[in-house]
Amino acid sequence: MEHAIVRFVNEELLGGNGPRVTADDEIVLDGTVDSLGVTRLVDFIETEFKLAVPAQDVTIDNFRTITTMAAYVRTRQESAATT
Amino acid sequence: MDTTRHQQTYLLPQLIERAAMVDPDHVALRYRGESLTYGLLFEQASSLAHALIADGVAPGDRIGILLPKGFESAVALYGIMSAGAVYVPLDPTAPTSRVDFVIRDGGIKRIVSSSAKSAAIAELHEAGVPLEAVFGIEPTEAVPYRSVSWEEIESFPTSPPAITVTEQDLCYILYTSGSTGTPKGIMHTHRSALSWAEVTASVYGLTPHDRISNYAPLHFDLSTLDYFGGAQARATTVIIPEEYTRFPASLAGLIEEERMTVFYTVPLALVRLAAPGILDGRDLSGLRLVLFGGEPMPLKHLRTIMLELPQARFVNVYGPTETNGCTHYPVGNIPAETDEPLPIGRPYPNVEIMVADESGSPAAAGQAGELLVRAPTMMRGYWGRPDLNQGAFVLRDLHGGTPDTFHATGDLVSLSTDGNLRFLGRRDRQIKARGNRVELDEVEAVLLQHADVHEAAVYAIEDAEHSLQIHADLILTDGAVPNTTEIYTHSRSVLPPYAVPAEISIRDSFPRTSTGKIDRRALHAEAVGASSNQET
Repeated sequence: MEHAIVRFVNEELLGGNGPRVTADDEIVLDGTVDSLGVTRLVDFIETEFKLAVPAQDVTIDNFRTITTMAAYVRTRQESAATT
Repeated sequence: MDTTRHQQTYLLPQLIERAAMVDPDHVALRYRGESLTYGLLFEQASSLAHALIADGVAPGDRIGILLPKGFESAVALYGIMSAGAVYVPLDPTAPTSRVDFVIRDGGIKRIVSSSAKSAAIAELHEAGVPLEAVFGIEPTEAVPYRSVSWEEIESFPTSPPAITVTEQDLCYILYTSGSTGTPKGIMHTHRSALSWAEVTASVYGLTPHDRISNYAPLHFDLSTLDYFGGAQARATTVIIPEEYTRFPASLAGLIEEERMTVFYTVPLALVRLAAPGILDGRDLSGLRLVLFGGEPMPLKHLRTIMLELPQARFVNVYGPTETNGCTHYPVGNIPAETDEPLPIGRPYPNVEIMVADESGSPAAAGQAGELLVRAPTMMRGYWGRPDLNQGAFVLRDLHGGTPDTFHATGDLVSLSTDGNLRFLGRRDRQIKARGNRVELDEVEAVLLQHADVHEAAVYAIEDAEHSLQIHADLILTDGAVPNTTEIYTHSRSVLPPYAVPAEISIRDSFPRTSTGKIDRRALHAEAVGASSNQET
């Protein structure tokens, strides 16, 4: 899962240019990904993992790094599986 | 006692001095859950002023501030002013070449920074930027300039230096987009800055109980209300960390946790807060005043957020960086379902406005004309640009008496019979892209610097969030390989992020007017048609 998001950020969001990000880089805090990038990331996560991400969940805590994004997706998938 | 009062100048640095005398433990600033009191802010700013003077800073020297948001920003701006010097914010997100330009253009010899910016400072050195010293950073090999650490700064006296500053002296210079391809510096004096602090504190009834947001970074003129209006009222200013501006759900949480009472921002931030679900379950009942400005606020979203925050007063504020705030329009009831833009309202106290028609005479009510402004909050002029100053100021007779200077804003407005001004557009090609001021001519000039670009036409298209997006259409020089990646890279290396075209298209020809000029309106209409076709 992390791998898919890392690939999306490097290839799609950053267009294959510039330094490559890793799963633990704070890509939103350090300005690598801007607000439009956040919107595209949310769209990607929704499509890729077949998940609706409510606006309240698009927070710094959930989107700090690719690792935290993946953790968020897993939590959502688990809660969907138990209900 | 009276004599001391008369001897002492009362300017911006004295705002925090007074606040520190009245109640040193009162919180001046909040950042990431921490507090800086007025007492400490005053002492730290005074120490920085002494450190600067000891290093040879003389009144009127320009000092750059290259800092992420944080307490250091406030210490830097008051410290620089307290030394009698002029602060110049350097956009930390701008490419090195642009920061380089501002440093050289402003004759800046020293900057205040922090270790968070050591990589950027090393790049400046590599680019050959002539700086004598960097304050606020540990001496390291990575930073080849002479540096003075914050620890060293704190060893200087904590009472302010005796410096003669008058209200006519420069206080700060804000650089903004310039139509010829390089930024221009807007000079403000202690008088204009202090006047703005006084106007905002009195008009909006700011008190020490207020907790005012600081959404905008220092190089953006919205920050002057947050810092100076706040200090004038001895209020607390809550600095919003930059990443919160990209996460409206987190921003809503921060407004609640910090119990902000005054929120001042660009419309885009309110549009995002008004999105479904963002304010659900949030208690923002402490918010009494929401100020927004910089570009038109879409009414649909204003209605939504006014329904969510029924206790807050909403005010549309207007004023170019050249004049600080000029007019404001308190929104009474929730606006009806109409697409007519909000008025920009009436002048603040001590501000005179005139709507001038093409011949320079006052325009009739309802007629379009250029807005001329006369106010104590007005700039001194553009730094080192007599050519621009000539067009920026005009003399007009007052009530048949002696003439006085007005600033010609370049904004087209009309005055309604109810006394409210309406904003109609620009005389030139300046736009606001997500709240940031951009001269489209500057973007064209930068694109034309690239060897592959033969002709460039830049125009703005409304995006999904009702802000503007910059598009560039290019004709390449003969034989050039059509490769937009390189042109994007060039744009990013010169322009600040918000001015880089969102889309670059290569064409074989442009639509032309009868005189052979590029018909940018036709290009714009073509692009708008194309995007609306995509949506359907």
